[in-house]
Amino acid sequence: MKRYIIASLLLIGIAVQAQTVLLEEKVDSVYKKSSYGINSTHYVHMYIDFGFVFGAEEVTKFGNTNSFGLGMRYKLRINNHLATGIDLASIYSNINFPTHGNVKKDKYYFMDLEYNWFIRTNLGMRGSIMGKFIDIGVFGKSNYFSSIYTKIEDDFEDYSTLVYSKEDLKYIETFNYGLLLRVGWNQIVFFSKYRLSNLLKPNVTGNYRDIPRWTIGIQIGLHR
Amino acid sequence: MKPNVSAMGEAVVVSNKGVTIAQGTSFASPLVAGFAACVLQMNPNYTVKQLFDEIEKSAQLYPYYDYAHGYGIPKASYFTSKNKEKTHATFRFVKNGNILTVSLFENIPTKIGQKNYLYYHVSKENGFLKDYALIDVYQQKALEFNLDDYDEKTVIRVFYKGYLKEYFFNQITE
Repeated sequence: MKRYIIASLLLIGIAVQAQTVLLEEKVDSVYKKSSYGINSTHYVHMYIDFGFVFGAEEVTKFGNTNSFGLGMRYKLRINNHLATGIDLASIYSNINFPTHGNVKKDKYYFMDLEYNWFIRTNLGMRGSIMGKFIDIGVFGKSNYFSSIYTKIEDDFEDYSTLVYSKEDLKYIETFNYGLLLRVGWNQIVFFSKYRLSNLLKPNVTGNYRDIPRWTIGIQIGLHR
Repeated sequence: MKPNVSAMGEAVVVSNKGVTIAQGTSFASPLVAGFAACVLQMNPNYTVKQLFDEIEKSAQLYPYYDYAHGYGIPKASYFTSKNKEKTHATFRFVKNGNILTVSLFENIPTKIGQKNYLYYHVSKENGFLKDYALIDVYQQKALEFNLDDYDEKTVIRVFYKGYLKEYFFNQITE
């Protein structure tokens, strides 16, 4: 801003002769349109993920079979209604199997690096908020930690407890993939994932159990 | 567009340093809020949107705008006076080759500080401004634009003493 300049001014494209310029602004040099923002071309935010493996009661204990994760999402705006993006998250899963008799605990623990690609359809009006949206996409996940934990209490002989624990399970697939669907409203996102791949390796033998393929849950977006 | 309208933003205040002058929207906003309350008292049936729109229309520069003044300072006379002020042409555009001159009709005394405020802005096709200015003019040929420096989709708007004129590259409208 130039105040009280009493002189001959030669602005770009404008000749002002012997006038007092009280205010003069070149907007393009002051206001830069940012391509980064919640509904701009690029946006990155973190999210928290709570999930439940969803399946038959005789296979897993719903509620006790859950996952927790922290992830980062990149969103690329295509137009006013469509966006695409990728997620990268670290997910910790705790799979509880139903127990019978002396078997008191029977669990899998997994830690996976999950990555997915999605197409987002935005619904309705939104301003500087995320608004309502539906995402469909695919996910993959790489397992970097797995363990099994079994606890058996023998109350017939010496009341001893047998605990079986093993890490780095060789019969678990280290890569899994599937489909995902999400419905979101600002920070709150409900999701469901369907695992297409098998958890157990095809040549595995023994009494190992797969887990249900559906996961449902909620994600909390860490953004305004 | 922000700001929508303007108001006095300067006040004499007492601080640790004694009596001093402070400025900011903290002083301007309550004035407009009070003005809005008066308008609403006068027109209790206004919706919020109507109130908002009418305050914009009452402002001294309306329909001219820029990003420093918005539509200018709201005027109570817009709501109280039945006879709307008629505006008379105060200047004209004169095009000579690629030079567009803003020529004032009245004889302006060549004295500094007369507050003969002339506002102009150059707008893009979508209404966003490229640049804007406020000039205290004191000569008849107030402004010159070299049209070679603008593309054909820009619009030049000049506001002087209640009169607004637009220059589209193909035609002039009032």
